[in-house]
Amino acid sequence: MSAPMEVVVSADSSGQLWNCAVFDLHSGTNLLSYRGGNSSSRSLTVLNGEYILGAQLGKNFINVWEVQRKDQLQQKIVCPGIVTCLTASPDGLYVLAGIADAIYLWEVSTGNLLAILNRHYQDLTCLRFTDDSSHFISGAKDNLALIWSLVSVVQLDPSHTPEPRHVLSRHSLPITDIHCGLMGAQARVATASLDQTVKLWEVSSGEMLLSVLFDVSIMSVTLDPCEYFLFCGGSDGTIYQVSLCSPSLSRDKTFQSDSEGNQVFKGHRNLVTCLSVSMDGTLLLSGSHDETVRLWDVQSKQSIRTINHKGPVTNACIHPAAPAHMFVSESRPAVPLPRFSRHLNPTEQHDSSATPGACSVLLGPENTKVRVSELEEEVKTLKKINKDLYDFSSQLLIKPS
Amino acid sequence: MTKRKRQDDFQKVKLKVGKKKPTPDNATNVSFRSKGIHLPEQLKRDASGPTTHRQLGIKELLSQLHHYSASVKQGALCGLRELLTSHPALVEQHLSALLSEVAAAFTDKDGSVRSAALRLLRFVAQCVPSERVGPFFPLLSAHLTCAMTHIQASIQADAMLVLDVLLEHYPALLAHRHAHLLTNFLELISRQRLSGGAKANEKAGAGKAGWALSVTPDRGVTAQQWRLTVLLRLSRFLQAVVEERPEEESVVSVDREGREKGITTPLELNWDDHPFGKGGIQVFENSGATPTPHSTYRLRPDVDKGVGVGEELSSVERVRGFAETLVPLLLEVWVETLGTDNGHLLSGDAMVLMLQILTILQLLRRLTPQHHQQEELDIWLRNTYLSDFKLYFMKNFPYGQLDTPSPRHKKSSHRNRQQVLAGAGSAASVEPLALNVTLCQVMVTLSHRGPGQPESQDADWLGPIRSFVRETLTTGSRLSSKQLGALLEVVRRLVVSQRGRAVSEDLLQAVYTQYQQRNLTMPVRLMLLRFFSQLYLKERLNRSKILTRWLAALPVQLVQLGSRNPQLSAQILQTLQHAAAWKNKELLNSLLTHACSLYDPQEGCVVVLPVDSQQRLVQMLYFLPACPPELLSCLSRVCKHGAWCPGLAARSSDHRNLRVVARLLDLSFLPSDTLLHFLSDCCLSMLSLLLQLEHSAHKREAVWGACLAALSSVPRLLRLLLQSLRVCDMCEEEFPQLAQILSLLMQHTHLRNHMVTNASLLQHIIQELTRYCGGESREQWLTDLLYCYSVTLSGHRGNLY
Repeated sequence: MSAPMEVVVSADSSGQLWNCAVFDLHSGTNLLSYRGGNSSSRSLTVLNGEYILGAQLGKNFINVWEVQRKDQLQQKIVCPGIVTCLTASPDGLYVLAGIADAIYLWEVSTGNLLAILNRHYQDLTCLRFTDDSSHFISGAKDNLALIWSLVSVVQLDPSHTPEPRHVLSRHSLPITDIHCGLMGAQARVATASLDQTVKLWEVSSGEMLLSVLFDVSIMSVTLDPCEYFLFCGGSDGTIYQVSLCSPSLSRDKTFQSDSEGNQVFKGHRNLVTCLSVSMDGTLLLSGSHDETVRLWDVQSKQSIRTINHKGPVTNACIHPAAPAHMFVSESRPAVPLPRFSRHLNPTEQHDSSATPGACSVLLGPENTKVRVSELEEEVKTLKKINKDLYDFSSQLLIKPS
Repeated sequence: MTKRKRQDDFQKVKLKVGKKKPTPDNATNVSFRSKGIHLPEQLKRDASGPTTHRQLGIKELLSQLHHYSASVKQGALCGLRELLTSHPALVEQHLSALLSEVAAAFTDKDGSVRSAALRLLRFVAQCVPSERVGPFFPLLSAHLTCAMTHIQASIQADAMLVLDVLLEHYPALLAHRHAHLLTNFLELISRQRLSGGAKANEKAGAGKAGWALSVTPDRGVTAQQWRLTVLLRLSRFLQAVVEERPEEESVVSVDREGREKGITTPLELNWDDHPFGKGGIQVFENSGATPTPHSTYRLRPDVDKGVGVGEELSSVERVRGFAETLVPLLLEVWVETLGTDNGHLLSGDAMVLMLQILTILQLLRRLTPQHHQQEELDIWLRNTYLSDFKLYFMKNFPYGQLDTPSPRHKKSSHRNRQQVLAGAGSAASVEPLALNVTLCQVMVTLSHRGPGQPESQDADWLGPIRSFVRETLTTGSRLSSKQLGALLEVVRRLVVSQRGRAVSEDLLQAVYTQYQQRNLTMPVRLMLLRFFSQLYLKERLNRSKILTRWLAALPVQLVQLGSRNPQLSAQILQTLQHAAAWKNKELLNSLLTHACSLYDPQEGCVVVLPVDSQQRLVQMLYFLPACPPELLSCLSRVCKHGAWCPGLAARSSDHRNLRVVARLLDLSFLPSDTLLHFLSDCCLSMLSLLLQLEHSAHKREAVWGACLAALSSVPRLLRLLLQSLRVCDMCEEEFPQLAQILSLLMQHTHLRNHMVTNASLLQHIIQELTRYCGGESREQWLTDLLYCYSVTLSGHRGNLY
């Protein structure tokens, strides 16, 4: 289990057998499953390779599992409202949740709620980070997709309301899915909408590059890692493949000729909710309301494998590298997950989960004295460490000469 | 014999009267004619080409320009003009020599030579495009600079006229050379104090960088007029520079629409065309290695900006430095102009001058190389000059015209002034309104933006501006569209900078009264509409009552507009769609009340407007909170209408619209009567659509699937569908289609049972059909139908027994 392997993480809305399960991409065997509740659409996310987060369908909390402890539920994060979409930043420092028409941003290390962004006019449908965690994109039922810069959102000046870097306002019906490509701030974003179009945008400029009009509403969209192809899951169960490169550039001429007019994946009988492409771009994973997850070969457009579920599939995605200790049952997460606060400014609220530092100040003179002495001690030890560090490094510097 | 022979030797010639004398053998033929060869003349013509009426070629004329006598030079210039007018090809051949000689004449001591040179320059500029003049422009601008800084006042004055010509024809070329020209402008109206030490410190307020206004008493015109001449050119020059700025966002609200479309032209694709398409798509022109040039990220400044760009205004610091010298001078001119008049009444001349000052200030702020730096400059201007501006500009703010009888007796001076303003056009007479509006525009840019600052500090001078704007908008009936645009820009700034306050509400109210006027021209109405929709969409002012009222009134306007003005309707619809998607309650309510007239099958917007707008209208249905039965019946009739009018239904967009509607109904599923009627109509129209979509198998499948799902899930639907098929109301052409629909329905296994339950209805329809066909030769479709019918029923019986 040392070699990194790609795994499929999927969930369905019935949650009969499990809330979400991990499958091997190539053999389709069920490796792990996590129980308790069920997850809503576009809300299952892996945080920092240590936790799996999934928003409970129709309830106002988020289920949390440690990746190595399958089966039982570890924690519930209670939120101010029903969570419609959820995502964790790739660097594992932030968690974003869409609750009604607001975006909530938590810092994972402290559990502080850093920002509530009220720029959308209707319920959120999708949240995505860029791969370098510098930006995130939010889509909602008000036809808008917004591109936010994380640094401009995470700021301590309360008087300044964060503004999105770009507003993508050219869809005419609610946004259903967003895919963010690689390359950080220079990535391209694909948005799908009920208005039967998929549009491709540039994060850096907010300009639209491409708009493809289909016959059906598009419920899910993804790009392969090279961004050669755009995959769009329709509400009729068809998956459409749009080639983003001119065929003259393609090396494989023979394939081009016989694939003419054969750019659809047929097999699902109901709307396609989620799509994901493997790291090498050869396999496509799709989940649908017909209660199956299918794996496709991109070149030949055949369904390789079908994984049956007990309800409409809400989440299915290929994780490029399975977390290292997913299969080591005795490992522990490096950092325990703190309680996520429900209010914006943690120092102002005393009744619920305030940070311990803030509490002790309010406990009276004795406690403050104790606290002061504690702090002094800490300063002393820190000074000592500093001195040791200095001595060590100076020795190291002098020795070679 | 011999005797005879001798006689033969000397034969006597006998001459007779009436006979021609035979020509002798040795006669010389003199019938040829000779012509002279004039070689020198031929050579001369080849070398000099066409000449003037004085027989002078271009070479002579050009060489005559070096003559010491002014009259010869003037004659040569006139001759050149004559020559070039008659032979325009010469201009291209001799452009280099011509321009250098003409440019040298800019600084000629004699006035008549200069004016002749100017006339020639104007002629040359007319016929030579700017890219051909480009190589010679450094020379031209050097001579121009020379003339502008000349010690003689008259040469300086004429340099302005040269500048006019160049600005008119080569603004871009001139703008690239602003590094030299801007200081020249300053020197024209002021002089630099050479480290005057104490003196400079004395007037530190005015001449900060050591510049002071200069007065030259020996000039032909008054100092005020002279300054006006210079400032007029300066403002035009700055305008040219500003227009040269790359990717400059226009300040005027009308042009903002362009931004909406984006800088890059996105590809629009239709899935149907794609797989069978003519080659693939090339989305990433740089193959992803570099982002498009429109990216807002600036990792490092663009180094390779092109060689022509001067260094002077390439950064904010430089612009600021320039402003530091210019603004105090402008203020000084302002004070001097105002000093003569007391109060807010101004003479016409003063007003023109002041307008120029304000225009220059306005342009100054737009000189920044990048758009986002404008804010920076604004803040700097505010910190440095706000107090001065308040003191001088706002003291007598709403300026008016001094009511003196027009000076008829001073006609000569009037003409003089006209000369000064040659080419100035409308600037010669300025309305006080234009002055005031420009003043507002300048001042409003200085107002503080951003939260956290007490707004009261600006209140003292924003108050008068606000009341002025309000009064102008409410009372001013004769606003030109340009002035209105400027006023709207002022209002926008005011409202955005102090949002949610009662004062801005008043301003909006004023604009709204303007908007409600009936006799507005189309562009003005569009401008006002855009102003409001921008406030709503871009600035997201959603607490304003006026804006809410405006939004709520939009559906009514849309209904009233009908098909009269599709462009205006499209603009309204765009706003409506956004507002509906943003859950604006008032709008949704208003939309709901007017829905029936909007979606009226006869003259509702959904029928009369172009396809794009129709699509928007149908998409708006998605956001409606409720679907009252009247609306449904309207919609069903629209569908029916569309169904039996093949031209409309065949369009794929309509097909898509129907799908949207069908999905809407899936969402809010209430089995009521009207709804069922509506659905049956929907199905019918979709089925007929199905038959028309022969070419696209994929679409057919989709439509058929949708129909099937609806019909098999609700059995009553089928019955309604069959009931609504009245054979007697149809014309004969529609029969085959109907028969095809029926046989399609009967052939399907899932539907067959439902069909059998409605057998009596079916039978009735088929009987009617056969009857109306008139019993002539049985057509193929009828045979097919009857066959299907019998198979269906017999199969059913087979199941029974």
